[in-house]
Amino acid sequence: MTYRVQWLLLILVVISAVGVEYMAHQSRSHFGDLQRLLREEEDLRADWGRLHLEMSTWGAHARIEKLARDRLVMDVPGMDNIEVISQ
Amino acid sequence: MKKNTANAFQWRYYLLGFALVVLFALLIGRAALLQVIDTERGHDFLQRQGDLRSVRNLTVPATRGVITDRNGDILAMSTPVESIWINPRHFEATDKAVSVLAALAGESEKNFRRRLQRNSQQSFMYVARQINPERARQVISHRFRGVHSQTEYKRFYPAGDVVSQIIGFTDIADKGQEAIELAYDGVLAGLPGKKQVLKDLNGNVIREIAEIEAPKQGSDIRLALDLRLQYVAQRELAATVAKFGAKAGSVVLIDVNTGELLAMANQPSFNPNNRANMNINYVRNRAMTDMFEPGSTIKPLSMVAALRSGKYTPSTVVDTNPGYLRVERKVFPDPVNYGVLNVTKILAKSSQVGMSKVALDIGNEPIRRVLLDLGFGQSTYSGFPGESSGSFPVYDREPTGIETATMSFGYGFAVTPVQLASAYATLASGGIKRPVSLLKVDKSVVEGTRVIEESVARQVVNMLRDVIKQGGTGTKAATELYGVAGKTGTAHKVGPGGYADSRYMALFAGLAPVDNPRIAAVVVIDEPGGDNYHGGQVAAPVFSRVVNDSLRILNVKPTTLLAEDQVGGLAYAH
Repeated sequence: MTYRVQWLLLILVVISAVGVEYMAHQSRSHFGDLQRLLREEEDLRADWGRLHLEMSTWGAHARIEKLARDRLVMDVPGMDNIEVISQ
Repeated sequence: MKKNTANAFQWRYYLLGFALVVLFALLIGRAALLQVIDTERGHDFLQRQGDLRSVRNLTVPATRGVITDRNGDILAMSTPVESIWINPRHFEATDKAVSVLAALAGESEKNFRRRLQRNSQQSFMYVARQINPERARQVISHRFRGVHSQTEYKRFYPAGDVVSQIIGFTDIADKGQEAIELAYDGVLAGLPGKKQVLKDLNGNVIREIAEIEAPKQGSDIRLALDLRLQYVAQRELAATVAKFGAKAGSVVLIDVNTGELLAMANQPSFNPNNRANMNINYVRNRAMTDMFEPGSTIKPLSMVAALRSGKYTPSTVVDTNPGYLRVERKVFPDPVNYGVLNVTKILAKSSQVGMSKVALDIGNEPIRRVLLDLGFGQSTYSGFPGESSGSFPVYDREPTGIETATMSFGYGFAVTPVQLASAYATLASGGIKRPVSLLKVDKSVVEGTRVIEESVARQVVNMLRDVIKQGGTGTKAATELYGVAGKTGTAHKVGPGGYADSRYMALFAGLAPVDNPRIAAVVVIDEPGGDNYHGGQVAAPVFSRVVNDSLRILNVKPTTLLAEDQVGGLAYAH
């Protein structure tokens, strides 16, 4: 009778020990994943930043205006070319 | 016999057994001593010693917040860069390693070896700071002993010199040094976190163990500025400063309904992304830090006091004959004798004589009251570092006639371009003063406080239409698409011996569209060279182009066309 309880407890202890070890392992591997993802986030953020900088370089107002005027021969419409449509 | 022999040697067997048990017990005891029972040199001590050799706390840098304009266009952003450093005590100076690192540092191998020699007793030496992460990865991939890379953040300013004086910049540690970057450093900065890692003998991270403290990322800031308008202002200002060979210039654009600073341009400017040859004088945000005597741009504000007194209406006539006025020991002349003028014409012609007569009639205090209510002599509380509050006289006696007359046409006190723009915004809003805001305001109308009666403000704005019309001093401020109102100013600058004869500030302050004002703008050109130095010739054209383009960009209905159509009775009128 007492032996049976002891055996049961022993089994439970072993299960819990394995469980603790398993969880510890899980936590370590998840932390590793987290770090990897953080690094990935960092890389993506860096890319995002670079792309933004690139966009603002290509899209600088001064550049757009110069291209529009010189290459596309565009101009801001003057008063003669504007009609106001109102209801 | 055999059994006897066995018995005779039985003790040997027991001895051996005993010895084994004792040895085993010793072993267990020692292990217990080290691992279970805490003694002075027990497990805690050993574990600590072990950790000291391998577990390290690393700081995890936090990214600095982004600064954007009101539409979300990025004005300042931090991107990760790498800094390569070595531990000279671990570093093996092989030819290959030295050649790679010297190339990275941009110095000769000889110099690099010399630097290495000098730092040989140190455990830290930078090889190259803030380099492209790609490049850093290549170097690290060689796996030289004692060579490490650390992530840092570098600030980039995509809009470059267009907004540089407003944004400011950060130092190499990404800490705010100037302007917005300095004023809002606490908001932008964020807090670095900490994590625990295992390092090997060479200091390389072998495993990340746990996060002790997550980094707190910096908050973003959204400015009131509209980059499109800022660009227009900067473009026109730069062109004008160059054309007239002026020393400097500023343009300020304020939203009449919210008090937001839509644009604040200064020339000359600098490129915050490349500060190697930066002139420290170009860093100053002149629109907020520099004071000047506002000259004739103050006349409309003095007129507020005149109308308020009840003695004057826009059509009250004043005799300016004979074209000059003697006040005590001083003579104030007009460029020509304007004869008899009404009050509206006094503003249109910018008659010093007429203005002085009105001022002397109503007295000093009412004018002073209006100017103080409009915020001259006080900070705008925008929070901008180094903002000047201008200067305004405090009398300990009855002010003289000269003081009253000069104050009425803008001498004897000093203002910043932003203060002047704020005063005109108050006029434009029908007399409601709203605090100047550098940050975007999430309201279409800010409440503000009334400082001028609405009818008076409207009357003065109406009078300012005539400045732009034929015969006024500000005809060049007229825009193609919108009706505007404003006032020119040409102020003498103070030199070493009083007012200088040939150094001027060319000014224009105004608002548009005149029927329902959206923006107030001030143009200041510092010391235009040559014969053209009048506000009406130098500053007014800048106002015209900036306001015309800005209102078009803001999608404001072109009012001049509407007015014409209505007059002509054409089909498109409402």
